[in-house]
Amino acid sequence: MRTGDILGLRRGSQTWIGGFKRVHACRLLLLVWLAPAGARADPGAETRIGGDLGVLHMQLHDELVRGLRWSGPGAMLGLTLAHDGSDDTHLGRMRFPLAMLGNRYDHGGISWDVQLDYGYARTIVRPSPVLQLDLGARLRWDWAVQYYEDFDEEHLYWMTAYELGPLVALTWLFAPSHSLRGTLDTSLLSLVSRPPERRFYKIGRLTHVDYFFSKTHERMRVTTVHEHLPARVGITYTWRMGERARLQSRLLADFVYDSEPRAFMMLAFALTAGYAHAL
Amino acid sequence: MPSNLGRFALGRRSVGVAIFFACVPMGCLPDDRMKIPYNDAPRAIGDDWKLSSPGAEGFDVERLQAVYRDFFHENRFPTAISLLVVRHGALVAEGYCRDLDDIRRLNAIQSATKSLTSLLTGIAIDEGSLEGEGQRVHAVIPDKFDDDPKKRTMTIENLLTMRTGLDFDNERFSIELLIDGQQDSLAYILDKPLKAPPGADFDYMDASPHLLAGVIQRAVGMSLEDFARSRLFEPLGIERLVWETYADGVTYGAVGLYLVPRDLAKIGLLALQQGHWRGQQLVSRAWMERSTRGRVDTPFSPSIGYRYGYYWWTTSELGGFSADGHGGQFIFVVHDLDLVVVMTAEPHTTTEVGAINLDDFDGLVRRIIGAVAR
Repeated sequence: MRTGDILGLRRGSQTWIGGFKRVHACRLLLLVWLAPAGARADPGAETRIGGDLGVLHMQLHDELVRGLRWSGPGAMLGLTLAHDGSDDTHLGRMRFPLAMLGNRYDHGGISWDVQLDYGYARTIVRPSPVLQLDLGARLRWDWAVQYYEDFDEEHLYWMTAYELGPLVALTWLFAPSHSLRGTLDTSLLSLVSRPPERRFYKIGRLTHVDYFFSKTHERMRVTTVHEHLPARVGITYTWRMGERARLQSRLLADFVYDSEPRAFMMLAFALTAGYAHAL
Repeated sequence: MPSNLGRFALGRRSVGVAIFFACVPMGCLPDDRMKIPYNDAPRAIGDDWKLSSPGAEGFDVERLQAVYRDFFHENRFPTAISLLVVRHGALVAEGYCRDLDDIRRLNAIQSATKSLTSLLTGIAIDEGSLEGEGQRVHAVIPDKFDDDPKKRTMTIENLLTMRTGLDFDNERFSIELLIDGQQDSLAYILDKPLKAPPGADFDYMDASPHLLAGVIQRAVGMSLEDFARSRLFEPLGIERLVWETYADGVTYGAVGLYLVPRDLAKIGLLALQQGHWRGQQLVSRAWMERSTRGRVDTPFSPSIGYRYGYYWWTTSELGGFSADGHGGQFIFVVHDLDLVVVMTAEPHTTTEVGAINLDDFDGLVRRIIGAVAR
């Protein structure tokens, strides 16, 4: 993808965010109208621990690998620890997406990812008893490693990023025991590592146990949205089955763009189901 | 289930979600073309290559262009990088199908490195640093051997023809060498037991040229890379290269050399000219004749019947010999036609799916030979 296309995409994202603000009031009014009477967006403070498992579909485009699109199905395991206060939310999460990839020539590949993040959000507005809008920040470590076994059997590819950026969440309690929470986050300040454009074997250097980790954290650079732009959207449905039991299902869309040393894009959609237990 | 939840699950929103997921596998991210637009004319880049054209050097232009059009086809040789044709000492055609800048980009030539090790063995013999290919390896690096007397009969020719007899699994132990970072790579290789007497069976392994690199280094008193730079690369005007060295200081004689395509073509032209380069005999004619003669039958590429010389693949049918590197790194030399063909490709593709193999390249070379009009 050319730089102009990337700029266009970025402008598009900003426009969308700006547009969100403009139509925000209208959407809130619509949601309030749709919400069932008697439900509350703030059902009370609680701390939850949970896990979920799901399926995903991932696409990768890395111009270090001839700009091919690699795509395929996968699975994702997630663990969460969350605390909902009366006016704020803490969310710690671990996710492990794994995808089996292929390109149009049937070259195989694999992508595995470790995502650790912590998010904090405060409720800034409750336009109705069943709606709340939270605003906060998220700190994320995203360690995405790819191995294109048929195309490059000698090297790992990766996109390692430490990201800090805003988080916005909208919660809708549409029935007394059922809620939907939509989240959107991105990164404004990132510390990113990508492979160099040209690499040699480095024969006889694979001597350290932590090789994979250290290699994928080399050449870290500090950057922001002009070079590194993640956009992550999630919709979580929660069913409060009982006093402590929560069933959850999530629909996630993750997009990451990085420009260095050549353009990298990842787009993943996931659908998960899981259980959380209120402590 | 509360009634309002049921409405949500079965309502229009669920249809939207279903459509959303149905669209996912269709793909949204770009899927670039593998090949750039057709190009086949050698470019003046200020190096010492003489540039010419197919018509001037006796090619049927249409037939040669047909080969190049095939080379640039999106679904033929998808991992290819460059294709160069040299005739009568001049660069006749040159196409870069991945990126025009690949003309200056170092690329791993993989096992074509072995053919360079063969040239350097010849130079070491020519200079008297080694006695000849009949010399025993033990005579040069006795400290690397264990007590097995049979191993001590191993000769330099056994190394050159992949007939060491060592029980060395090329996949397993080459990786073990990399991962474990052996203290002494030569002793590690020679510590493997014999499964056959040296000289008996062909068994392709990277360990053989690596041992030979160690032998040459000991004999000439410098690293194989330094020896190559002074005796080969400097006279050839090859300045930009990378040649990787094992952790114990032995230049890797099997793989690990990175050259730009035009410099790979210089190696081919040197071989075509029987070791002669612009007034100097860099490698003796006698060595070139001995090393490029087919000596051993191999199980590889049975359909095209190549034999193995001293780290060169030979074919009597086409009257030529070839350096062959994993992924699609080739030099092909045809004496009778005064012709060199060079191809480079993505170097790390797997044999099963991505790599361009000798059979593929052989087909391309036959078409190029067929395009020679006179």
